Formats: sequence, C-alpha cells, structure tokens
Amino acid sequence: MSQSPLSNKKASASPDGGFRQAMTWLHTWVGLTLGWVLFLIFVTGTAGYFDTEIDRWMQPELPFVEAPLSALETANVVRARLEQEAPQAERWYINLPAGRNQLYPSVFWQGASEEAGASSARGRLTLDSKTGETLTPRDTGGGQTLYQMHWRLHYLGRGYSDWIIGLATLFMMVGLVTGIIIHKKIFVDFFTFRPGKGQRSWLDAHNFFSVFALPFHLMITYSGLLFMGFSLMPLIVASHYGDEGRRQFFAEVFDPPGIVDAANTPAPLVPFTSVIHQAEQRWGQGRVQVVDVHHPQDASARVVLYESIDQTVSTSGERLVFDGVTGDLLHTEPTDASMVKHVRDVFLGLHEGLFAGTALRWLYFLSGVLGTGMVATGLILWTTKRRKTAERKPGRTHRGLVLVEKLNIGTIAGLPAGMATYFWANRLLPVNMAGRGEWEIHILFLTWLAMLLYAALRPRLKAWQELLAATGVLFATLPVLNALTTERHLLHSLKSGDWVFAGFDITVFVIGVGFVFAAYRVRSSRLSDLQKPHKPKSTAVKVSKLQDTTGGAV
Amino acid sequence: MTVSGLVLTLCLVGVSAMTCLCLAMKRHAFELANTGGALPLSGKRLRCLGWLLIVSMFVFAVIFQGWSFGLVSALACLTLAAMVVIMTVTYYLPWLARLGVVSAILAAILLMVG
Repeated sequence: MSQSPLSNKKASASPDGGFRQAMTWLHTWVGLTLGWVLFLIFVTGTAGYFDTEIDRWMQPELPFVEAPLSALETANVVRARLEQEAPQAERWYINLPAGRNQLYPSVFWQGASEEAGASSARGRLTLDSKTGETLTPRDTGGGQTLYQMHWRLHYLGRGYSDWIIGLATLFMMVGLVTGIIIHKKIFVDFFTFRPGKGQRSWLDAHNFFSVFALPFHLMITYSGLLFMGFSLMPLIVASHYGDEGRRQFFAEVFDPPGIVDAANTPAPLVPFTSVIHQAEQRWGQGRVQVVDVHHPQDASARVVLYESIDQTVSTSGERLVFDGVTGDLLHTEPTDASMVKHVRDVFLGLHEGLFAGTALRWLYFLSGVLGTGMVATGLILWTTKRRKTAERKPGRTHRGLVLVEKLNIGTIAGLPAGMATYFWANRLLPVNMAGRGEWEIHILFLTWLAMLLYAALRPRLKAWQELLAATGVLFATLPVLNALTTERHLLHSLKSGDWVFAGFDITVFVIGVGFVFAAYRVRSSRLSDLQKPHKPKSTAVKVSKLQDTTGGAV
Repeated sequence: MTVSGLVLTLCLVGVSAMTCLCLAMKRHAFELANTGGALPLSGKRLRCLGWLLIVSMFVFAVIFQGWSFGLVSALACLTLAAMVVIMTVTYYLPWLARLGVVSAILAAILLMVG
C-alpha cells in the first residue's frame, strides 16, 4: 500500500507512521463496539438471501408449485375473490406469481367497506391460483422474520432500530476503510493462510474473509448506508418539504404518477384483459409482477401494473398507469425517471439481490458467509492478542477481556443455535397455537440468551467446544426432524425434484457438520494445551515479531 | 448458454486465473519447488496469463449477461475461485498447477459445447 499523504509528516520519524497507528486503533475499537450487532446483521442478512426458500420450508402444508397459470387467468381469479372479500376498498394490491419471490398469488387490501360486505377493512391473503381459495398454512415467522431482523432487530421500534443499524453500518464502513489502510501486505499475503499458528492464523483468516469478498463488503455496506439515508439525514428532506412534509416527499418519489383521490361515484372496474395484454406485449409473457388497483369500482379508479424485476439489477422496473374505468394507458413510468433515484435503486437492488437466479444467489449467500466470518474472526482476534498478553502477566485477567470472550462465545455460537431452535420450534410447536409465529422468534432469542448465560458460567474453551457442538447437532438433525414431522423428507424431495426442500435439508446439515467440526478443532487444541501447561518461551518473541510485521494491526 | 453454465464457466476460468496469479508469486512458487513441483512458465508470464484470464472472464460475462448482471457474476465467481485456490495452496499444494490446467480445459470445453 502506498503511503497516504497524511502519514508523511510522521513517516520520517517512525517507519510505521502515526497515521497507520491511528487507523489501527480506530479499526480495533470501531470493530469491537458494535461487532456483535454486525454479526447479527450479517448472519440474518445471509439467511435472508434465501428468505422465500426458508418460508417454504417453514410452511410445509403449502403445495409444491407446478407451472403457474397465465397472469390474466390468475389476476381474474384473484379479482373475483377480492370483489367478495373487499368491496369499495381504497386499494387492492395483487402480487402475481412470477419468479422465485412469489409462488402463490397474494393480495393486500385497505379501506374496504364492512357495510358493503367486506370481511375486514384491511387484510392480507395468500390464495390458490386456480380456485382463489385461501391457503391457510401454519402461522410462522418464516424467512421473512429472519430477514426483517437484519434491519429491524425485531423487538425494537423503528425509532431505535434505524439508528442502531445506521450507526452499525457507518462503523462497518469505517472498519472497511481503515482495514484496507492498515493491511500492509494486501497483495503479498493474498493467497497466504498459515493454519495452526494461533493469532497469526486468525489474522490470516480475517484477511482472507475480508479481502476476497471486498467488492461485496464495500457494495453491501455502502448500499446499506443508502437504505438508511432517510433516517440518517432527515434534515435534507425536512429542509425542502418542512417538518410535516415527509409523507408528501415519499409520495412524490415513490408513488406512480396520475393517482387521484376517489370521486365517490361508483363505476365498474375495467376488465383486466386489455390492460394485462398491453403490458405483456411490452414486457413479455408472465412478466407482470403486481396489479395495484387504486379506488376499485370508483370513477377515478387507476390500475397500475408493475414490471417484474427479474431482468434488471435495480429494485424497480417499469410501471404502467391505466385509467381504471376506460382502460386507457395514462402514464408510462420508466425505471430511470430520475437519475438519482435510479442510482439508489441499483445500489438497493445489488444489496437485496432479488434479481439473482439460483447460481448467483448461492454466490451472494457465500459472500454473506464470508462477511459473517470476517466479523467473527475480527471479534476473536481482539481477544487472542489480549489473551496472550494476559497469560504472560501474572495476576487476574482483565474483566473487559473476559466480558468480550464470553460475549463472543455466546453470540458467535449462540445466535446460530438460536436460529436452529427457531426451525425446531416451527416443527414442534402445536400447529394451532395462538401467537405461534411470535413464539418461534421468542424461542430464537431465549436460546441465544441461554447460550450467553451458559458461556458466562463455563470455562472459556469448554464453553466454545460445547456450544459449537450443540449448535452443530441442532442444525445437522433438522432433516431428521423434518422427516419425522412432515411427509416431505429428503428422499421424497429429491425424488419429486423439490429442490427448495432438498436444498434446505442439505444446507442445514452441512452447516451443522461445519459447527461440529469447529467444536472438534477447539477440543483438539484444548487437549493439546492441557498436555503442555507451560507455554514455550518463544511465544512471547513470536508475538512481538508478529506485532512488528502487522504494525500492531490486531 | 444457461446462467448456471455461464457461472460454472466463469468460476473455472477464475480458478485458472487465480492459480496463475498465485504461482506467479515468489513465495508460492518457492513452496511448490520445495515439494518437487516445477513450473512451465516464468513468474512474469504467469502473471500476464492470470490477468489475461481475469479480463477474458469479465468480457465473457458482459457479453453474455450485459454490464450489470455480467459484472456482478464475474466478481462473485472470482471470489469463489480465490477461495478454492487459497484452500488448495494451503492444504493440497502439489495439486495446484494441475487444478489450474484442468479447470482451464473444462472451461474451454464448456464454452465450445454451450
């Protein structure tokens, strides 16, 4: 790495430069402060790349999806249902099955009139695309709750979680930039991993996780910041729209053009036939993702069709706005109506990876795993260096060190264990239990809490070994649990070509084996430590040498 | 060529490229020599070849998938390829050169078939 101009002043005095020292300090403490939050963000975000697949595994009642009907047929089936279920509504929002993200049609409505026979003013249903009947799978948090935890931390309101997540993302960005600055041998050590050498190996691993997926890490962190833009920089909107103008700003930026208030004069809603036909001519068969009807059965009705986003990296496709009575095309809103919004949508799209097909989705997942590894090894590195120093000095170990070690064990092994019990709860809680979906997630957090307590009470290496093993067993036995509690066991899935179920079973098994292997490695190193209670003297020399070569980067 | 086929090809080219870049480095060439392996090309040529393969990987990806999808796929495949290579360097060093050659051949076959 070339020396930054800022470091030139001190460069002559000390070969390392005060700048790099300062950056090292920043990297160390910024990484530690919100490290566990970042670990949670990375773990749940990585799982979130397979949110729909997890949803499906967690609702085994839902049928295996065959080839979907045409958009028009499905839309008509759903419409017939909505006319009964939600007459005189303000809005019908119909999500058509198109691509991976939506397997069954689902609807959302608001402002329906209960006097006119609506089942409720607002509601949400998943339907069978042929019969229009409601599909009633078990209540579950599903992959969506895991993915929502990624940015909402579950129990906190948006007022708190936005700031915590925003701050964590900022810290992550600082961690990445300072990490690049202090990594002196980014090219020389590119392919170097030296296993079995204690702290040296942890640093190699940390570099490996960070450098190999660096484009991903930079993209994911920067786009993460863009997600939080409205929260982190509210004054920019406020300065143009005033304190109360936030809603107006969002409407101007995100709502399609040409939506007007209800005229309160009844008028029949145009048949979907010509509307969907026009859209499919423009976008291709089966590429209508959403039919969004504003004020159905009103004189000022508008039908907005959203293009599927499977052919763009961006989060938004084209939108067509039709008159809901005459069926005339009123507006065509292109994807890049505003350059600024387009740039934002592309970054957000890259972050979410909704465009990614199976192969690319796995690579996203892999990059997420690397990010998780980066945070985990970073947290462990903080302790290994201080543990070495503490062992050389007689007297009590520093309380801060012990605290960080315990939190590391309880989180790095404990949070994945929580996720495993979340899946266990999905299969074992009674299907008709009230608040079932919420309890699944309570069990996730309770398990994590139990793991933290366990880590606090046990000796360090034993706690690592036992918790990693427990997590591994919980994951690896999930396919067995699935086979015992549903009809859709691994062999059945493989035979019927249900790759979502098979993929889930195989993946959790591999994850489980990985954790058990980690536990085994901890055990071996613990036993070899026991055999030679007095460390060889050369360790101290090695550590100081290591600090020379890394510029104290650990 | 299907998307999965393309991603597989990109990964194979990536492994080949990363192998070249890795063995172009003195440290790893030296390690290989210690295990009795010999390199057919000098460090400089290997480095050129490695970069050439990386560039060609991006070109393929962009031709097949366009700028946005292509760049994402190529970068992601390069990450996976780098992981495969570092694992091989660390644990199966004598196999590294063979890995590079075999993945290049497989990639060429895939390109011809697809």
